[in-house]
Amino acid sequence: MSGEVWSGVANGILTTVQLTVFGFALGAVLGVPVMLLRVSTWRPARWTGRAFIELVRGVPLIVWLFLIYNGPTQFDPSLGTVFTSWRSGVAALGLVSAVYMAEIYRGSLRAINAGQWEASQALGMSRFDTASRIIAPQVTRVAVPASTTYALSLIKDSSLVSAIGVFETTYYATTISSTLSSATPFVVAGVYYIALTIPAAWAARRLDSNLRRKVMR
Amino acid sequence: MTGIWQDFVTHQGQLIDGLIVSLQLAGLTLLFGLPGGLILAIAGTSRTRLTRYVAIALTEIGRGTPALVMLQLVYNGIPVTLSGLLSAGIALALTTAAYTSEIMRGGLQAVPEGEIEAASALGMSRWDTLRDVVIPQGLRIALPSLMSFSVIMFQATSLAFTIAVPELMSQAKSIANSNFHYFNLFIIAAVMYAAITISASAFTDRVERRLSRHV
Amino acid sequence: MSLADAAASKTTSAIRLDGVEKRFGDHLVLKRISLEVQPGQVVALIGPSGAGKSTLLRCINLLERPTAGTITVDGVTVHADHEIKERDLAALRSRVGMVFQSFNLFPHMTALRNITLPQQRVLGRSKAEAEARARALLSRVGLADKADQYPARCSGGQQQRIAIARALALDPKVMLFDEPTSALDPEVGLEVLKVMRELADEGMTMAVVTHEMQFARDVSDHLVVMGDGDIIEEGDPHQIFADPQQARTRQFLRAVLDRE
Repeated sequence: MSGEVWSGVANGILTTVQLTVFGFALGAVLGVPVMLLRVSTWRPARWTGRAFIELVRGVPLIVWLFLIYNGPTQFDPSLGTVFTSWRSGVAALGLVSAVYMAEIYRGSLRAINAGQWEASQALGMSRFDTASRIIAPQVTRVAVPASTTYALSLIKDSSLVSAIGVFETTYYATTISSTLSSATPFVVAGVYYIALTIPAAWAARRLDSNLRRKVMR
Repeated sequence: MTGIWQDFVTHQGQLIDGLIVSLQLAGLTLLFGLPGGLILAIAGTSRTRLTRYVAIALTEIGRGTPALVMLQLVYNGIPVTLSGLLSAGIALALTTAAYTSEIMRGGLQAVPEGEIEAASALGMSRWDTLRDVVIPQGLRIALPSLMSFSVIMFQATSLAFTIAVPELMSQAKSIANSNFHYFNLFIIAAVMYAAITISASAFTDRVERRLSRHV
Repeated sequence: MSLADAAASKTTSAIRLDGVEKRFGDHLVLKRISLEVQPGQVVALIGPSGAGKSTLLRCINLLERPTAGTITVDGVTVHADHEIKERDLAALRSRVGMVFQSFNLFPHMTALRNITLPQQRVLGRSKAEAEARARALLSRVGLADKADQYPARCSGGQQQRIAIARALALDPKVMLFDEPTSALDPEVGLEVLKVMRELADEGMTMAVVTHEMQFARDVSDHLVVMGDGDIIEEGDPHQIFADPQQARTRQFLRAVLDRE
């Protein structure tokens, strides 16, 4: 394996990280309203939330990517300059992340004792204060392990964005592979993805144990 | 909307053929991947350290490598020329094996220790205990998760368009490339995928509820 | 152990433990225990929890590997300090049946299948042969009608009797009972104790770890009182119950009998 292949594929690593970070950040934010819809006591809202989650999850990421990237150009080819491959990639990753994060938030919300609501209300706190001061911090705390697991899997999912021409790790591997007619660049890409998840997993574990210590105190 | 329906009617033959290929590919993936996962799961609980480490290493590599990279690796890396469908089947089966081995290992480990002890007190061999006591129950425990994962792998078959397997995504893309109705065709593909995955997920939920009622 | 010794132990005792020791790290759970059980004898092991009764019982069929000592069951001898061969282990276990506190039936098999499967796998019996034996044993423990039920559909007492039938189906020379009624309501425990009493009357060699003092006194031929990983006192059950020689035995008996 020549050094050029290693350095060539490495050109995409930063973009892979950026895609993951932006996609996850978008999803973590958008996941909140989706979750709120999903747990609403008002039935139409709840059903809308549920349908949205099912629909987004029911369609492969690659279809979302092409739908966002190519879809608009059917109506106006100049929209291609708005929906660039980078923006489409982040948007699709964000969309898919939003519903996963919504489900993670919902699961964490359920893990929190209903007694917390009652206690806060008994103390005379408003619903909004209870939600933002009492419930949200705890949900965030409970959601950390599942969220980090999801973020790690998003590193790998970001590889699909190569299909719409974002210059990330897999994209470089594909290009170099076809130039050299060799599969080696994909071995290299695999090594990079695994190498990326290891420090990320370590950081995630540290974050979790730090939070745990903070809560214990 | 009429445009979408029009495109579907015009190209339904090609699109449905694509969906059938997607389902075949998913079948192939699970056919090789699930037994592979079981073997890795059993090897991962082996008493021999080497076997255990090899199984864990393979699992980690399989889980750490994106399915798309695995696909390209198998397609370009195997010196024998395989059809796209078979390469895709093997690649996705490797990913499936790595992920499901974790699910199955969890199931196998959930079988109560007392039953394994009872089998051993009865003089049953390790292999018989595994075959008759641990595997049937472990897989039953793991079944709902395995089904959810199978749905995910069905979605992952859409990646096979990158190696020219004529599955649903590939058909939708090639039609769209000729008539430029990108939005219409990808919406159609999305609906077709969603129809399969949402009904499969609903079925999985039912199985899960049934199982939890009986255990 | 020489061949002559092995032959001698075969004729004299069904179970023989010599200096059996078990340690978990620094903790000594069994302190070089020696014990003999004659063929047809029923031995009851009693004592406070944590005394090592269950560990000792589990050493007999090597579910627990002793760290030192020798175990002989029906002429098969295993030394703790040698590596235990798979073949010796199988030979020993085929001579010993065990009944657990938590029954440990296989929940995904019917009562009948629970009893036939080990016969087919361990003794290589045919399905028909195994089934005939299983049905005979099920009626013996009074559960002929439960053959096709799954364990979850049976009461605890019924499950434990099925577990006894499962162990008996392999024609063991010795039966070990590890607190067989502790997980059961008292009145349900009685049906299990009745089966055990019948088994004793038929001449089965038994070692029973139990909290049932009445069973220990009235059914067993030999009583072993354990405490802190050691045998405190052993002998005739009636005599020990009437007149314990050791202060710790007295203390233990007073504590349990007062509670009853």
